[in-house]
Amino acid sequence: MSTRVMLARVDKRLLHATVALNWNQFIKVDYVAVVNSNYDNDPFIASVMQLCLPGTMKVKTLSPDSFLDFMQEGEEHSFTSRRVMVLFDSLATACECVEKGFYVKEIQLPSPASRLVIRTLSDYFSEEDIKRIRFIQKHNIKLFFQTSPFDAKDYGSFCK
Amino acid sequence: MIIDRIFREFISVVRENKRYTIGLLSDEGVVTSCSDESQIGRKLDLTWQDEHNIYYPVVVKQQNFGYLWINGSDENLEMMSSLIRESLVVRLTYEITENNLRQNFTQDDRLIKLILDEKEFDMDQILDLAHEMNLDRNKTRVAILLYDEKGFDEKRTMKMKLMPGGNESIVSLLDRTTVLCFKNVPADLPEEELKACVMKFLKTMKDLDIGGTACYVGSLQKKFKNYKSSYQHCLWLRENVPVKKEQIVFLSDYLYEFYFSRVPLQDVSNVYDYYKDCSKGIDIDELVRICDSLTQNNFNISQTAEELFLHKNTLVYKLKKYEDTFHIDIRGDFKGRVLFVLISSSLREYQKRRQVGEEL
Repeated sequence: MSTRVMLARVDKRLLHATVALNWNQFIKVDYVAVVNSNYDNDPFIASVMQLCLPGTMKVKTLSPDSFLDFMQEGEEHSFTSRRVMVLFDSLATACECVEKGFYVKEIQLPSPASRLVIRTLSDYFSEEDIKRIRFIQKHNIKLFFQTSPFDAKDYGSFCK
Repeated sequence: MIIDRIFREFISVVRENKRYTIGLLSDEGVVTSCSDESQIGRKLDLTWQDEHNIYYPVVVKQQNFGYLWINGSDENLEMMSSLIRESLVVRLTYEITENNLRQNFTQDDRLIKLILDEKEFDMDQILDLAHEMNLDRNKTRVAILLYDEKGFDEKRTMKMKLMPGGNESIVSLLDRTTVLCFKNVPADLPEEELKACVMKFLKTMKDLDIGGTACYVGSLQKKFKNYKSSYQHCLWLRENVPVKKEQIVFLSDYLYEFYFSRVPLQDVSNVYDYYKDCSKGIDIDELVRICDSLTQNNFNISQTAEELFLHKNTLVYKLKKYEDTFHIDIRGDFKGRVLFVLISSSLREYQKRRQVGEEL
């Protein structure tokens, strides 16, 4: 056993929103990996982010490269098992991680705030983001909308 | 207070960075806690915000915690202030939710204990506690008994209180393997919609890793005094209905069997044993089989004969024999049919007891 990704989510509001939406109540994790190129290597920001949660859940603020190192580190310590929640600040970051070798079965995105029915992806995403979505899907990773733990997962919008 | 403990953690982090000072102010602007202790007791003008001093009101879940003050001469002050504020609000939300959950869960435990109390059922106490918990006493609720051989832990069970409408449900971990929930459901729902509602709830629980290996759903109730019956219905289902893994069993699907199990079969045997003993040669197993098949086929002779691979006349001959033996009319009289089912049930019991070697 090594690192198990319990939830991978793209949310520009990062940890704050995710904790506020109670995901942490439902997903028992040892680490929360906040993957964001802006905050990497700033220990003060990392410490402030950690204050969101009690010390039992460790918050790691990582760039895509250091995130992959972190995941790799888990592989090496095969005697221990750790459960991780991964938060990407954008589809671009998630895409970069996938390009560099990160794999997970599915990635969650919060439902569009307007709750409008998405007929095509271009109703909600930019062209660049659609390319990123297709790239991620090509790597056998499913994408779905889900805001809170009680909402149903919406995979359908990403098949359009 | 919760804020004091949490804010101490914030202070120790901010002290590592000399560029910022954070403080907690009362509503009047008096510094009550600060990373720079010399500032404690100082009164600040909350209306005077500049590029070095930022104030945010801290209100979480309708609780007022005063103001957060961030001081610094850094160009990133605004961004850092916002991050610190958001972290503080999120942490307070987290801790308050956890506390409320723990408190609610303890109250749920107490309420369920009172409801199930055999000897000292005290309605006034139940109503007082329900009032304290802000529970609507007029809601329709149904008992759901979850069983998991691996066992539940308290944290896992507490998640049920976070589900939509969870504050109106009453949940308690009865023992390591059993959770009892009195789930609120919309009143006056047709049977199928009610089942769909309960199944949707259980599916959500399963998705959240709270599902058990078996689940029993009792009767709908509107009065606290009857909740115990709904729970007892779940217990009856657990004892009498064999279930497959992760199957959901509803009492409404087993009402016939439930009521039949309540009939004192000894009273039936006391009357009919005489006739059974007088008639030599009744095959009890065959009688039980025929009776079961008749019940399933709504006492239709042709369908029953077909199901049992008997000629219709053979079946009629056997039924006539039972009618003569027990002095009942199985084919023409509704009461006779009910008596035949009762006799069959008592004989089934008799066979069971004989098979385990009981002296009869």
